[in-house]
Amino acid sequence: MRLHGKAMWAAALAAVFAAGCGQPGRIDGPAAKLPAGESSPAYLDRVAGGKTVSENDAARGILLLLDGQDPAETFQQRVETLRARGIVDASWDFQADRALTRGKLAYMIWRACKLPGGVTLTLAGPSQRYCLRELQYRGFMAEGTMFTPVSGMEFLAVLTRADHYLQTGQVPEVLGGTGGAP
Amino acid sequence: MRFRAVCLVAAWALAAGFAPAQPATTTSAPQAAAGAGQAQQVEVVSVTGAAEKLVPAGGKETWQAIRAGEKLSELTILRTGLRAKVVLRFADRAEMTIDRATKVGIGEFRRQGDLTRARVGLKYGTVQAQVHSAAGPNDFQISTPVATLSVRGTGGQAGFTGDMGMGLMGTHGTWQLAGQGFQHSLTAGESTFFQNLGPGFAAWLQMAMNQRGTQMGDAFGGLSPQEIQNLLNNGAGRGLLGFFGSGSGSLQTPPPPWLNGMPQLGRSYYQSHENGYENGYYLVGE
Repeated sequence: MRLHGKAMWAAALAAVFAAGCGQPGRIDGPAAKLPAGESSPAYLDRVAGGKTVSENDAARGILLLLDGQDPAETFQQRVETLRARGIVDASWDFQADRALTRGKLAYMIWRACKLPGGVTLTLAGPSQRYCLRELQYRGFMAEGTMFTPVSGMEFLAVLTRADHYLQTGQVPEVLGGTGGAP
Repeated sequence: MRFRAVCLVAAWALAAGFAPAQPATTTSAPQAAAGAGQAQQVEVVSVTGAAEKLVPAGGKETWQAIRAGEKLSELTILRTGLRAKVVLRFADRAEMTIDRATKVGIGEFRRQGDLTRARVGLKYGTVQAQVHSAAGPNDFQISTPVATLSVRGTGGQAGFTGDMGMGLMGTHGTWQLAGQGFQHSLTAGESTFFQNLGPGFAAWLQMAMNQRGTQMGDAFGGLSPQEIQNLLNNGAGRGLLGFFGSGSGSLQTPPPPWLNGMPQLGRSYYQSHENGYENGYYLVGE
């Protein structure tokens, strides 16, 4: 009887973990392409002029931040690369031409920069909400809600701060960070 | 071809919002091109990472990689990528480092007698400038979408981002800032990012952040002035220990009555907010 109870608990835990892992999210517009052979300055200049940033462009930006290049040819390849490296949540749905939200950007930057977290992030793991709060606290991102679309200039600014952080370990005050020269 | 280049720089400067931020003493790009004195060239000292310049080629402008040692003339536009850095030398008068993810334009670089005159437009990103006054008189200005900085015998960093506005940190000497309705001097060791320098400056964002923090912490209106000041100083904290914010929607609402005791804060909030859109900020979540 006692063993039976333990088996039930184990089955329940397994079910919880299975539900937590879930199925990978959907990718809409998997074949969507971006300008081939685009240099980092050209990419930044193009994205900066946009009212919003598409998820496809955002994926390229994160890859440029991490590797300095984006060899992927399609949106699906970019998303799968980011999934494999744990930069995005595997359960997220993606849509190539949909505007990126601030919550998703915060999550990706937090993962890409391997930032330490506060109490909630440490105990519960990353979420869009608390990644955004952490990045706001650290001066990476301005105030705002996590569902707001990211503008081109905002994306550029956050990417710049993340690049500073990855190269120097801090974000300079002139860019809104907590201090340090570039 | 030169006319096209002039038009290009003028359009770029206008699009970036240079015009509203220019004080009376500044010069627009087309005027700069026709400025007095002899045109000088800017030397590229070093290039790290990907950096490009806009050049006319075959009847249209194209971006080409920048190389160390080459000379740049007036009306050249430069842009850098992530992990990139370009160091420029303005003859014997100044050095400027263009940091990563930055776009700048050299509006003017001329010498008239002893006086050297330079105008650089910063659209986004960060630059560091060191201007040497020992070699002779300088008139060196950096324009951003919200303000113009006069750099004379000084050094420091200036940055502009589309979400938080402009930041400036002086390392030596004194910087003079001028924008729409404000002027300010900045000495070594000071930074401006969250200072209240007037409308059109990044302070409007800080006003909103402060307002948000105090609104959420004083939901029942019973805090003392000291407690409100504590919230202004420390904000909402983060994670579970802080309280949940109302997001940037608070930017849309007028300051609550209890902010009347801090007229400067409230006034700055309004003025800055009104100018925020004009200056190209994209911060507000509706």
